[in-house]
Amino acid sequence: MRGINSLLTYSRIRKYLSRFIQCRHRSTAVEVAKNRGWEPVIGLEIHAQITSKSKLFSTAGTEYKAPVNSQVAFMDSALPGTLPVLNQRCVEAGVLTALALKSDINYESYFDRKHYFYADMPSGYQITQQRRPLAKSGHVTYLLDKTQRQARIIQLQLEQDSGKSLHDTNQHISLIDLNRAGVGLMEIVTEPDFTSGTDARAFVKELILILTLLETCRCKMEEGNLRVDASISLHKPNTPLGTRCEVKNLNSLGFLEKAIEYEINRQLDVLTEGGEVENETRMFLSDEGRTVPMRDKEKVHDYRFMPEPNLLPLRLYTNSTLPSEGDSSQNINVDLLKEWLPVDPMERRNRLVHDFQLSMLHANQIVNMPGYWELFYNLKKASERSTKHITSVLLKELAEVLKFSASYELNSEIPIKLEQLGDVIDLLLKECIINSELDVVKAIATRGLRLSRDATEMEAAVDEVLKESRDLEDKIKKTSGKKQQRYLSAVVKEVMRKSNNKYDAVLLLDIVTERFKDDK
Amino acid sequence: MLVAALLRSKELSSIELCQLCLERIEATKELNQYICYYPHRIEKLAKKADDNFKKKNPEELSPLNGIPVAVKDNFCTQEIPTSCGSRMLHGYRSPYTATVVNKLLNHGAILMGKTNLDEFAMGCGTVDSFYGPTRNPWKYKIRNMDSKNSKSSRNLLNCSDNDCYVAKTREHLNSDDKDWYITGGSDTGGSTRNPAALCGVVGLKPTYGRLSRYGLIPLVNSMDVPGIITRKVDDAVLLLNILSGRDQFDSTTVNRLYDSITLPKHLSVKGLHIGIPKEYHAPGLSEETVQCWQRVADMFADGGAQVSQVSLPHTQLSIVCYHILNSCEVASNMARYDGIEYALGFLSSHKFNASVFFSGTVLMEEENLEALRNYDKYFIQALKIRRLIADDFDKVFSQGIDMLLTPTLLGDAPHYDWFSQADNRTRTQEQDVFTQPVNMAGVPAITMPTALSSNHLPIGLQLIGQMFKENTLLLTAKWMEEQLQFPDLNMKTFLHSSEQENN
Repeated sequence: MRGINSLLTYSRIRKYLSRFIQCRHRSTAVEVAKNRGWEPVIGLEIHAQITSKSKLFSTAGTEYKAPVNSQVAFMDSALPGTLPVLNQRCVEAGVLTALALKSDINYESYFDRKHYFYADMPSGYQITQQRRPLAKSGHVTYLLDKTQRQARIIQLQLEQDSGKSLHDTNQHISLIDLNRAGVGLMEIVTEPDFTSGTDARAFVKELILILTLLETCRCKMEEGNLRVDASISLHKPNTPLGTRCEVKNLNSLGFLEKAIEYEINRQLDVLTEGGEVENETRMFLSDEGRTVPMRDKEKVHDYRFMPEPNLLPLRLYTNSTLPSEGDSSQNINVDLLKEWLPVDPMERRNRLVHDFQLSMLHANQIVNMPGYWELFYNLKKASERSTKHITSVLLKELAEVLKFSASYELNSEIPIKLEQLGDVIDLLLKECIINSELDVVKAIATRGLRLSRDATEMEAAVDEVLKESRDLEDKIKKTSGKKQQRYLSAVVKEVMRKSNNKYDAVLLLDIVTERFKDDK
Repeated sequence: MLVAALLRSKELSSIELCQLCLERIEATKELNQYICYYPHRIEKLAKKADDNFKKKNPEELSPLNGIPVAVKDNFCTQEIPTSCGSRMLHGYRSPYTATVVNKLLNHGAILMGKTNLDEFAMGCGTVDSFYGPTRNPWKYKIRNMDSKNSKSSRNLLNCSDNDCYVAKTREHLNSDDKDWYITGGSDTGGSTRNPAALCGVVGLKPTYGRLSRYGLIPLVNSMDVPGIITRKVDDAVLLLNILSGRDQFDSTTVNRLYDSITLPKHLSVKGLHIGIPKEYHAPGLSEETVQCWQRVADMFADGGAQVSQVSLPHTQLSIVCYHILNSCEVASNMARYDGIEYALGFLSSHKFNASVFFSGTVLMEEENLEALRNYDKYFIQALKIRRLIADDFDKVFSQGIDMLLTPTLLGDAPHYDWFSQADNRTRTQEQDVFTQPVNMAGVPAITMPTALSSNHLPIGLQLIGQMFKENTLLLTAKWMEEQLQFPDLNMKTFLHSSEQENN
């Protein structure tokens, strides 16, 4: 008895210590496991919302942050008698993505109903693709540190997103928002090819890059565009896979990595203590950095799959199989979509390295920044500029500017014209400007180029102008409507001229208008 | 359609016609054919139809303008409630109207009301409706409720499922016994043909995919078809022409153009090849029905058609297979009625219990879900058998058979007592035995009133046609109609005799 007791205490201490260690060196979870003879095996299931104007089977909109329940068609709320009608754009997005993931397209795929009761799924079933998905067996090459790795994709299927439940714990009520219900999802399932949280993270990052380039998913994880479920298990090398746990709905790359690392440690503890890992669904508590079992343990869930009887089999065509009769715009031609496919990120990196002798590090940076790849080629094409200088300007100076650009953050739009950027690089090449001046932000500050939005300063400037030309003020006071508008603009113009275009003209006009409104 | 001609010639206004129909509805209320009708609304629609006659050239107007129609209460209608015969949807108002109903309304038809049905159209005798059973107009005598014979009123013959329609149709008969109309049914396993046969009218089940199901509350999605019940074949032709066509809201409607069907003046069945499937000599088939079947087959032969016996070897398996597929799709379709979104009024006042809502049928019960749980064991097998059944039809039709002649039902209208002795499923197995293989295969079929039984109840025969060949089917049906001269139910004597008896 004593022996067992002491063993228990020992393991408790070790558990305590291991937590401690885990906190200090989280990244070594895999190493710890390996040292003890266990090997983590991780598979991912990614739900990516398809970027489309309307939902997968209805005409309701898909705008993010629209007022609650404002984007709901009869079909989405499962009113009796409504029928699903497949959105062609969603299928095209699915096919493009499948092609980019180098998958085999199923030229005939089916939709199925997956039954389960949940308040935010009003029909009692989800329409998905169980028997034959849109595409199967693909692969993605991604970069982990500096090495290229490959992960295998089991399948890609189209399915409906569910609605959202909003729980008001104070009033003890649950509210349902169906805006998200029925939005098209691509479910991408990988083989268990990953060995650590960092590895899985690198893969998802690459996937995000691919989907963003294709414009098939916005991939804003914080908005729930892309959600990841991770299945984690440990086993001894060359033995069958262990029992896995699934951690659901990880909505940031950081959480994905942390949840996996945590789960590896947790399972390692269970296994080294001689216990058994339970096959369960867990959720990640981001505040506490740990995973806990989900309340509704859906242990043996029977989804009672059956074919969706209201949809025809989804048929795709190639140039040679495209039917000559009927409305051809209704038929999806995979060959046409193939032509549309952009060069994939890994290929881009390899080309940069191969064709321009860039380091993989720089190539990776250029490929990861939206719009950079095209910019690089255009700068290169326009004249014989040195790769070194282009890279340097893009990755240092321009990157610095873009940090402050709202338009870049929003829709990856680079707010500087190609020609201007080209000029800067050319000047740099000719050594007409010194490198430090390329710090645009600094240059703007030191030269007083920054647009002023200071209202009091503007008021003062307006006063000054009006003092100088009294008649202008009188004219404004006497006139109204369009005529007055013209005089107001004259004031603005004068202020701008005097201040060397220092102010925000729109704001300035507001200030001037406001001033004369008060007078009346 | 004689009434249409009267309307056009302005001998009769739509308001008058609707008034007559409303009177008939009131007089025959005991048949319980309607779940709801709104006289005020009907008047408004009729007025509009009459205005159309005044404003426009009658030739430009649809022949349906001003014509009363009734629709089974499982078609969604925006302005009047849609209950599906169930407490679960009691008082439910759909925010949209079903495509086929919309088409009727756009053609100026007057929607009289919504007719009774088994809960969610699941059943075969309209005995399992939340709104009570319907009665067959052929035998039932209208009585005062306080009549001493209240016991004997139990003796009513049940009309089947939508035969409420039929009853309603009858009401519309105007006193001159002119003629009249049309009801929209739905047909999953025979719910159009079955009641039409019991009530002695024409019931057409079109090819699957020809009419839109959008707004038809589903029972079995892969078999449901909007059906057409009329007094005469010509009316069915008219309705089919109006209702056919691709609907962007229903992906299973077939993308093709339909030539509108016009039946020739001189009908002939010469050269047609009619098959008599031997498997339809099923146990329980009444002697009278067999005789009737034989007589009509001979009639076709005399008319110059070639009549031969054929075989559909998988017929026996059909009803079992139908029930498995039916159970699975029903269980799935009913998943949305979880008592939260619908039937709110009941929820607030009663403790929720699913079985309260689904009174007669076993919609929510384990049994239905069982088949889906054992997906490979039952469901896949059933789908395979369905394929075999469809292949049976294909094979026969590819051998040069134009259409099949079969009984519609085992016999004439059964008693309510008989119905209540067994559960819904058992009775459906008996009542739908000849009709559901058609739904499994998706082919079109029509039931024609053929003769009156010794009980003075109608017996119907069914013609089963080839995919999308309603044209030939209707032509043959019309020929049958002319040959048989089946008597219409005489409403005047029907109501009159009832009155006498009450006195």
